[in-house]
Order: sequence, then structure tokens, then C-alpha cells
Amino acid sequence: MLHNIALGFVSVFTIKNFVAIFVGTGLGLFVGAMPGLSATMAIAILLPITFVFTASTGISMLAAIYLGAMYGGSIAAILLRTPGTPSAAATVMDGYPMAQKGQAGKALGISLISSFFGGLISSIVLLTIAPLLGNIALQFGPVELFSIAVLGITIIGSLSRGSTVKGLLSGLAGLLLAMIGMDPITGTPRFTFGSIYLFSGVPFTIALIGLFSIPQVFRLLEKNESHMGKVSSIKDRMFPSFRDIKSLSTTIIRSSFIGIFTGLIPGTGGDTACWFAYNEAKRFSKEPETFGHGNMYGVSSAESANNAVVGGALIPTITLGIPGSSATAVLLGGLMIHGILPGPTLMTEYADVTYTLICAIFVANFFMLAEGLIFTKACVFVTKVSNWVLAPVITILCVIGSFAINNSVFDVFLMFGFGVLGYFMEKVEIPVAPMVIGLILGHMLDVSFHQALLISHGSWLIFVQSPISAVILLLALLSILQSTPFFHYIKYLFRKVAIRS
Amino acid sequence: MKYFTKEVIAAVIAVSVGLLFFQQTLSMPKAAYELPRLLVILIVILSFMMVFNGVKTYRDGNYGNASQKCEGLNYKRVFVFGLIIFIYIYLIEPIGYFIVTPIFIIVSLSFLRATKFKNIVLIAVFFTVFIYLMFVWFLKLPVPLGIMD
Repeated sequence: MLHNIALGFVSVFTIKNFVAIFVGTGLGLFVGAMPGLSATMAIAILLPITFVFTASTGISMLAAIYLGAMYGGSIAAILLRTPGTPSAAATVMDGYPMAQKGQAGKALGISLISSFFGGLISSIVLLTIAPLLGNIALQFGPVELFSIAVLGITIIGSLSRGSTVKGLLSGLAGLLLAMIGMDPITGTPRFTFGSIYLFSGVPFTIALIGLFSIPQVFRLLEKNESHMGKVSSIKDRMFPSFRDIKSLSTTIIRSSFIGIFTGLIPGTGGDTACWFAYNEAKRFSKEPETFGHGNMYGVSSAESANNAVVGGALIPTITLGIPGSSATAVLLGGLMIHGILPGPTLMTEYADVTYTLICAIFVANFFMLAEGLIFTKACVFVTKVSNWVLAPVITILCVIGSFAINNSVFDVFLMFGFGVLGYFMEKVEIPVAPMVIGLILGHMLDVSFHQALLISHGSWLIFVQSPISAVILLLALLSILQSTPFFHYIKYLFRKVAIRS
Repeated sequence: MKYFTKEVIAAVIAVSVGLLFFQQTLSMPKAAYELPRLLVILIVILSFMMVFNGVKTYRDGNYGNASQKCEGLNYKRVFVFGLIIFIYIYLIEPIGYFIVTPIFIIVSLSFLRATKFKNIVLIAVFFTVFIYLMFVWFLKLPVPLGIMD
């Protein structure tokens, strides 16, 4: 394990990867600062750019974009009262009032320091837990892998925003779309409708770009305002005093762990973690009434939690192949573009790339701190860019990016189709994230399902005969049942008994 | 439009696609159709559940301000821009990146009245060249050159 970690650091400390992390963090910072553009979209849209790099350089850059965008989101939240990314929603609560009081620099500095420590703590946890969990996951055979894929879909389906039924429907639709192409066991073409372009399946990267970027373009256009409003100026010092950092330390540590645990659960991401940590900071505060009126602990809690999500969400992603959030799903797409398939083999067969990713996350925090201090003031200009100028620019990046992957216009049409589908799903309140996870897990589910049935000579009982698989499937069942009226009734009965006693 | 109409539309689409996929499985060997068929059946069941939940929420009056969310949104602009994107994708291969991309930027920014025409032309030229340099010169990735190939 230590050998792999050392190799990871050696790989990160090459000039090429260093530059990739530097550029990635900067890009993430600027894209995150643009109101309405999410970290996920930033990674998705820049995926094709990493196509020409080696897997470790590409993934280092994408991870740096993710981390940079997480902090970048707070710039618009503090200066504009509009979160740059959904993860910065709670930062608005106290960040903007601080800016109104003439403390925009201090708010941004606290956000940066908290993001740095949140990210650092989560990357240390990632460095220690991921290899251990990875070793356990290596014991898994096709039966357990099938159950894990089922659990991934049910958890993300039931925990996604909105109704469980819609979340599961989206996840299953993603799985069904992943069945398009040649059957991995029999070699039979499935659902290709006679098109040779679909014989190798739905290109995952193309689907990602479409699902995360085109709906964002349409969202920018459906509003009648092209600008977000007046931007507050930064007049005070950005870097917080040592006294401030010391007093924030408890909040940062608590919020970081909240972020890590929230990130660990598939389906929940920075947007959940920031509110969770914010509420806890308010609950622990001696002056809860000052929250919402420019309390620096409010900014610190939300920002350390959303950056800590990065490491937490990567734990199930690299050990089990189940992405913890949409952003990590896109990161996984960055690996798949280089032919690396998700699953427990990520920690062994592709250890060089995986450990580079883990170490890149660790190093990217330092870049984020340095670049944040240098570029935050420059990001103020980015927040002023009109939405209506951004829309065609994003569209061109999507079109050229999806063309470049396979040199095919069919892919561009497919990307646009996925984009329209994503927008429609958003309008009918069906979450997109489970569909993406379904598309990722589809191959693993399909192959492990076939292999398990071959082992059992066609008996489906094999999935409950393995104790690990049975427990995982039980968890999957519980994750669905927890949102049914039956479960609510049981909870109601428990509460009734508790009140009586 | 009633609150659950969108659930009905989504369910009809999901069931139709599901049935189309199911029909495709009829010509496949057992090993290839088992899992997809199971998925289609689950999708159809969940679609019905989605409509049932939608109707139930409507009857209970728990839909809050869901119908107000769509108010004040300009769908006409989204539709026209979607059409412009479609035409852009359709023309990019036969005509080529260098002609279609600046036209796309000029047409879309003029349609959106984003800024002055002089600025629009400048944005179009700068961005077309920037993307070309980034993809072709720096990243060595292809762009469709069309008649300029």
C-alpha cells in the first residue's frame, strides 16, 4: 500500500502532471465562479481535452478541476448572492452579508482556507481508507459485484433529490441504455437498431457531456435576465488572521468529517453536505442568531464540508466502482475514456492511475490555496460574463469536444439527444445523476450477472446464497423500502411505542 | 396543465421505449435478453408507480409551488436556440468548422441580443480561432473542416 502511495506521489511530481494540476485548478476556479455552471459540467465539458493526455495526467487534471470548482463556487456566492455551484448554496447565507458589510475579502479568505483544510483532511482520509477498502473489495467475485451494482443504483435512486420512484426509474433507464451494443458474453448485437455506430455501445463520455452541459445551456436561456446582478467589490485583506483560523479550527474539522461522510453515501454530494455542516455549526454556536447575518463560522462550515465531499465521494468510486456523486461519475468517465473500467480492479490493475488520482487530489489542495489567493480577484470579472454569451460558447465546446473523441458527427447528434433528454428529465423532475450511474454500472452489472449465472448453471439463487451478496442485496432492498409508506408506518409505530414508554 | 400531466407524459415515453426495447429482445438468445427484459419490466412498473404517485400528490394537494416553478421561463427562446444548435450540428461536417462556427455565434448572439453587433463579430472571430488552436494545434484533436479540408 505504502509503495503504491509513494508511486502515486512520484507520478504527481512530474512536470507534466504538475502543470495539469495547476491548469485544472485554475480552470475549475474560473468555471466554478461563473454563476449557474456546476463543477460536474466543468469536468464533463473538459473531458475530451484530457483525451490526448496519459490516463494519470488526464485524471489529475479533472480532479483538480473538481476541487478548484468547489472553491470557485463560493466566489459568486459571496460577491453576487448566487452560488456558482449548487455546493456553494449555504455559503450565500453568511458570505453575502459579510460582503455587504465590506468584508468580502475576509469572507473569501475564510472560504479559501476552509476549502483548503476540508480538502486536505478528506484527501488524507481518502489516502488511508481507500487502500484498505480496496483490499476488501478484491475478495469480491461476480456475485458480489452484481449485488454492489444493484446497491449503487438503489441507493443513488432513493437518495437523489425528488421521489424515489423517479430516481430508480432514471437509474434503470441508464442501465438499459448501457445494454446497447454487443452482448459481452454471446456477442449478439443488442438494441443497435441496425446502426453500426451503436455496436460498441453508447459512448459514455458523449452521454455525460450531453446530460450535464446542454441542459445547463438551456437553463441559462430560459431566464429573462442575462446578468446575475451587482457584484460586490473586494476592498479588504483576503488572507484571514491566525487568530481567526485558530477559532475556526473546530468548525473546519467537524464540517470536514460531515463532508466526508456525506460524500461516502452515493447520491448525496456537496449540496447536501454544505447545508448539513451549516446547520451543525449553527447548532454548536453560542450565537446561533447571528447565522444568516454574516457569521464567518457559517461560511467556514459550508465551504470545508463541500470540499471534503471530494475525498469522501471518491472512496466508493475507486474502491467499488460506485460513484459517490455526479462529479465523481464524470471523473470515472475520465478513466473510462482511457479504457479503464470501474470496479475493484482500479486499486490493483490500474493502481498507478488510481494512486496518482488520490495523490493529485492531495496536491491540488495546495494549488487551490495558492491560485485562490492569486486569482480570486480576477474571478470577479468572470462572474460578470453574460449568460447569453456563455450559452453558445458552452455549446461549441460540447459540439467540438464530442466530435473530437471518435471523429464522428453521429456522436455529436447523440450528445445533443442526451442533452435534450436531460433537459426534459429536469422538467419532469426526474434526476439525471442515477441515469449516469446506471450508464457506468451497466457494463459491470451485465458482465457479473452473466458470469454469476454461468457459475450457478442458471440459478438466480446464487445471489442470495453468498452471505456478502445477500447482505448487500438486503441493504439495497432496505434503501428502496425506506421511502415507501410501509416503512413510514413502521416508523410511526416505533414513535408511538416510544411516546407511550 | 394538471400537476401530474408531466408524470403521465414521462410514463408514456418510458413505457413506449421500454416496449420497443422488449420487442427487440424477441430475436435475441436467452443469455442476451435476460437482464434487459428484467430492466424493461421494472421500468414499466416504476412508470405506473410514478403516475400513481403524481395523481396521489395532486389529490392530497402536496404539490406546493411546483406549477409556479415554470412561470416566467422563456421556453420559446430555448426552443429556437435548440433549433439553431441542431442546424449547426447538421451543417458542421459538410460545410466545416471555420464557416459554420462563426455564423453560429453571430446568429445565436444576435438572436439573444447579447451585446452590440461589433462585439458579437469580435467574439465570433476570437472564439473560433481560440477553439481551433486549442483543439488542433495544442491538443492535436480533429475538428470537421468540411469544404476547407
